[in-house]
Amino acid sequence: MNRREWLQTAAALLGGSLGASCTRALLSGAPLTGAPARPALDAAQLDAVARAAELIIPTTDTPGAIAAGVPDFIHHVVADWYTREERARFLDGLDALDREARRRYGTDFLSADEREQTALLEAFEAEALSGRPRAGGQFFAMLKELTVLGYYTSEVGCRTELVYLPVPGEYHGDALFHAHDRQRTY
Amino acid sequence: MAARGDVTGTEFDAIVVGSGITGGWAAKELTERGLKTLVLERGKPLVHGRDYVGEHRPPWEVPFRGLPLRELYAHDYPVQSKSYAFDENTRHFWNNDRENPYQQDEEAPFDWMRADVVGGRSLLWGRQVYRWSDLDFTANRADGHGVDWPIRYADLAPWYAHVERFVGVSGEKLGLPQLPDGEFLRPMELNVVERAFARALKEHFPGRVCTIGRVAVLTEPLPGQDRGVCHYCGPCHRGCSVGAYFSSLSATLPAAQATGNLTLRPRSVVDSLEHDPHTGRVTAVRVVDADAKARLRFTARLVFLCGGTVGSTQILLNSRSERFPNGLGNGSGALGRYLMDHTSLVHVTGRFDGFDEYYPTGYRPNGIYIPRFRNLRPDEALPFVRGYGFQGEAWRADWRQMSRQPGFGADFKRSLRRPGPWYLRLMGFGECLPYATNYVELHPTAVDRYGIPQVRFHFEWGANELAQRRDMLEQARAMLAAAGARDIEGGDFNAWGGAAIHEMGTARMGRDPRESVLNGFNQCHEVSNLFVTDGACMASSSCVNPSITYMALTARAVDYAVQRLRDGSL
Repeated sequence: MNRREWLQTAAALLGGSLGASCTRALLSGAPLTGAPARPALDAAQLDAVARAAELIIPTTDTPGAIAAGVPDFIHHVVADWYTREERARFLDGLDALDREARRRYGTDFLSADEREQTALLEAFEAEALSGRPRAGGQFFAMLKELTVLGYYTSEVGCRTELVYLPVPGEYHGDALFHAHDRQRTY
Repeated sequence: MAARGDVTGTEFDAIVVGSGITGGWAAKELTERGLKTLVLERGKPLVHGRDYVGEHRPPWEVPFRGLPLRELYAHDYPVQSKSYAFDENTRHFWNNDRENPYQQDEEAPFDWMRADVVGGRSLLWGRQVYRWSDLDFTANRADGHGVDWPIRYADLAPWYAHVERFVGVSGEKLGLPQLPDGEFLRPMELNVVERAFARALKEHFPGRVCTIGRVAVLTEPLPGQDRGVCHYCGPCHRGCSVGAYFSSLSATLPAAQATGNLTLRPRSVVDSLEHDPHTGRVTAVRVVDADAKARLRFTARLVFLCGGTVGSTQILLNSRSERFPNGLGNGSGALGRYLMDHTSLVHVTGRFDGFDEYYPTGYRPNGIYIPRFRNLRPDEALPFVRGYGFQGEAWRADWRQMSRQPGFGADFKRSLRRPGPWYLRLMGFGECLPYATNYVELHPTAVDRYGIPQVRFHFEWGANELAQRRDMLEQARAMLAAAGARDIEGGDFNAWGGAAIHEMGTARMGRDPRESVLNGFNQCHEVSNLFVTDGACMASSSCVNPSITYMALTARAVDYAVQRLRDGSL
């Protein structure tokens, strides 16, 4: 039984307790690869999200957000988990990113160079931290939260950036942390 | 587990209502004494191991990576989803609030957390295990709140030992009169910061002790049971297929099954008990089959109610007759009253610097415990009676916590690679007094999908609980400060009852049938073959986690009932 089948069976076992939209959300959330059934982002928007996510968690000595499948995860959340209002706020912010890029650099976000893209996200983050964020600041906070969650719960993130250790076998409360160690996760 | 099927018409020696912590124990003790026992469970069947679908599940396989399914939870699980243990890895264990609703006074609400599977909340409990002491059993008599317990520690001590040996409790012996030691397996380890905190506590607060939690998780094999030792995978509430944690499914029901005397019938919702006024006994248990919606009737010589505090009381309240117009065994009028829950959600956290070279291995399913240190003597002149203890834990911040810092990019990513600062949190659990004004009753008109009247809660904290919580908050801050914690933050988030999931009372034990429902053996004063051994029986609440006490009371009650049955006096 694959995961999707399992979820369908589970939904059936739960006695129809899942509303239709919830079932759809649950099922569409399950594979978290490819596009959601009802895409919320077009190809250009998804590219912009991917680029911004990669700037938040870049490829270093370990894979970054794109290699970890974060853009697809974000797309699923925006399409199927966000409320209508949150989705609108996210999409507004994405527009604001392009608007600000044009205002500053005369080009859209994706066509700006990395230094410019970084400066744009920094400006949005500063706004997010200002206490009264407008569309750009709100978008940055949402994007960062989803990027971090998507990355550190991905198989790539867990197995490369962190140490995936689901069954440690023992507990030692005074074990030493070595310079090359990483966070463990389950 | 066992045969379901048409067992009406079968004559049982005993019927146990509920398969959770106490129902499992009643089943084990009854069947091991040779009684043909029927266990009625309202929840769904669940197979140990196979149905722990969230166990060891990698985060990337969890729907939406663990983001709460808000629309679904608001619609179907508005109460249950408040639990720390409720998520997509455990949701299949929990009650659906929409399908099984209850009523509450909006001004005095109560969170009723319920499982809806075989094994009940024994699958979800926090597994903390602490004996009561005579400080607890004499508390009502000493300060006049509630009725005096009909039993003392000496009555229960051998039964604590009996259940602990089978449950498997890891812990440290302390020799404290207010927290008697038990039959312990090897204690789990404190981590380095908890050890430093424990040393500081001893130095700055003589008489206060920080120990490792006493927990129903095996740190050593238990002879005679097919259960493995803990492998420190972390979230026990997702299920433990090796059975390192204690649950009805891992321990008591298999033992009952092995006797050949157990019949377990899931999806069997008990409506009420039938009472014969001439013999003064329960003659049958009325059941609604949750699948067929058929009304059934089961008979036995003995009935044990183990449906969870409110579940058992609901059944009694709904068992009305000419002889008992206000509920079975309710000549006293105490049935439904004196509902208690522990005060909880007083949380204080501080950061501990200087331990960055340490990073514990494993995810320990246990924390620290600071046993009660207030009102151990009668002359402490505090603005409240009774006391409280602290649970807690020290940990290093993980990526979730650390990612709240500003920044992004390569440096940000690098900063999340290593574990973050150490924090230690203290969480108070306090004794709640028994008040007649805190109660459950049957709603006059609202019924559930089986036609059974819904319960309605009315619960408010009293002045004593509020005074106690102020002290908890102050003392937690003081202890953390004395131990060198920085940036101490906390508060009292305990707005209403039920949050501790330690609901108890509503069919209290007592010496006098005029003011209590049950006698000192959990036997209904007015109905000789009826026993209630879950949290409903409690006459006071102590401040320690209650489950092991329910288990000991259950085993003791079965022993008593079977003896009376054998000598013909029951």
